[in-house]
Amino acid sequence: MTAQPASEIEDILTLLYACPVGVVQLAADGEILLVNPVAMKVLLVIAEGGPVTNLFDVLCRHSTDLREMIPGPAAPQGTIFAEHRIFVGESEAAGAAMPQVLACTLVKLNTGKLLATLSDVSAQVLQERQLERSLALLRTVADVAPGIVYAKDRAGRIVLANAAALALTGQPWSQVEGKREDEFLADQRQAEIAMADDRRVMATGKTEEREELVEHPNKGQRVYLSTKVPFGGGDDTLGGLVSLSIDITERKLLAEELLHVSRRTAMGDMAATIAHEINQPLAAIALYLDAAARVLVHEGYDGAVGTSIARAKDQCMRAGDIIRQVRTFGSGGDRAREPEDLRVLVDDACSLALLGSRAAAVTASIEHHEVDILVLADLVQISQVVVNLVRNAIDGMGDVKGAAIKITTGYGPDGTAMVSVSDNGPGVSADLAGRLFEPFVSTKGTKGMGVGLSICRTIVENHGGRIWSDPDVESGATFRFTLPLSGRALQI
Amino acid sequence: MLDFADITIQDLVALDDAALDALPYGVIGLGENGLVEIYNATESAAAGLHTARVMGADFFANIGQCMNNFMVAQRFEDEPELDATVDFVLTLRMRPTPVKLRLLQSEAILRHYVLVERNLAGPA
Repeated sequence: MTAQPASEIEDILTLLYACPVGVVQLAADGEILLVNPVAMKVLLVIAEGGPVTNLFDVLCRHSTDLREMIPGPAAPQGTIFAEHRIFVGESEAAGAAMPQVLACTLVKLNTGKLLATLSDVSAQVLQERQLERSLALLRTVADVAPGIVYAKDRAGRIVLANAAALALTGQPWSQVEGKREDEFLADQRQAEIAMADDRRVMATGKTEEREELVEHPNKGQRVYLSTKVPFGGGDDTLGGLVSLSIDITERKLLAEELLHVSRRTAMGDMAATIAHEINQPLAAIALYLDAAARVLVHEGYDGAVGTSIARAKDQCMRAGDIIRQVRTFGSGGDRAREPEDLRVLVDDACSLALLGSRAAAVTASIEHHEVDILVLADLVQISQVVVNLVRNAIDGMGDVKGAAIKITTGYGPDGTAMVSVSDNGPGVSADLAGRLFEPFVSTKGTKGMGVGLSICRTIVENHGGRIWSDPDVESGATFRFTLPLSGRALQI
Repeated sequence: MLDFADITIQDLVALDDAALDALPYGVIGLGENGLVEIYNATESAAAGLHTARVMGADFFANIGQCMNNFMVAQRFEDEPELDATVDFVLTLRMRPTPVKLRLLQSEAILRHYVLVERNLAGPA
């Protein structure tokens, strides 16, 4: 082996001296033989005034596990450990905790000596902590979100999935992270559909909202309202997309049920009106037939005419029975009434009534009585009344600037439960005010059928309640209805 | 009176080159801009650098990079009145050399000084 010329050694020393990473040459026991300024600067700080002659002694003040990692004499040459982090302390910088962390790499050289590099990775650790906090925050937000939340990178790999999303896939996070749907979903057809949708959103860069029919492993077939939003990668490129899906199965069923009940109640209301009108002449016909029969008996006539009159009376009574049956069918019969929490009932009904673009232009507020009120009600029917009143208010305000609706729950003048729906629209004209709850009277001119409020009255009165509108037309319209309280107290 | 621990910045200003060279510890005098104005014979011999090569150089940037940190250079920036003794390890030519440094600066005097005492007694 030829000795290196002195000038070459000088060059190497100069290079190491100027190296921006801390470099230390050690004896096998850790004694510092050569050290550059960057390493010494770090060591002087962490030695805290103690001697800086043995690297292991200085580092082990802050990293007890390092002692076990120090190689014995028989250790082979090569890297002993790489980028081992040594937590030195924590300082306050601009009001935030600033970690002080070193990364140490130790290499055994063929001479038996050791080479150590020391880097200050405090800034990197701080960034990692901030990133960790941001991710934890993001995961928490995703987990408390009311629905399925996931995010993908631009290559379609899952980077975030909340508990609801994982429940849908039936996989733990470890099986989903960094993968595409076709890599973890058993149903490849569903995987391909989901991937194609997301690819389209990323390709167009536009937010999409639509309903999806999804087979849930535990809940069966569900309807989700999915919103997919592309997000930027920070350099004018696409970063990926975030998807939020809300299970609207129950809401859709309720809407369908409400529509159904609405039709049935409208039919029942019409049937009641028609029955009332027809019952009068039917009753008169029956009376006249009775009178005719009595005249025939009085006159001593006993023949086919008497039989025909009796049959006509039977048919008349049958017609009356049929009308009663139609009324019963139209009213939906007697539905079960259960104790219902008025707050929940009104909240759910309002969320349904406030869907749609017209409602989006209206400021709606709900004020509940401070004590929860339990009413005895058919949930669907009373929901329909609330929906009707709120939708009427929205429609009635038209394009009023600053349109606002206020829904209030509380107690009525007679101690029953009361719900009020007020708006700041044009109010109800005086000529309509007295007839509002009659069938075929509409506040919407030719746009309305005029059965909504009539249905509301039928439902509320069937419940033993009352419905009315306040006479004040100056400050918009106010509709109120009452319901009997349930005898059972709310469990708080 | 002119010992490492006792000498004042006024004493250093009053000493001529020969008297400075005679001191048993290193004396480095820096102008306002950090350029070397005094580099005595003791420091020159210990560091292995000719005085002529060092004079006029930006000391912390080009000569004593190992002192270009918050423990030495930064203190001259931060403390207009400074008389501090610091336990330090020089790394000139990568060799760890434990020293005591004395940092001297006064608002009344344009030049500031770094005194270097080597030949420290071994660890107690």
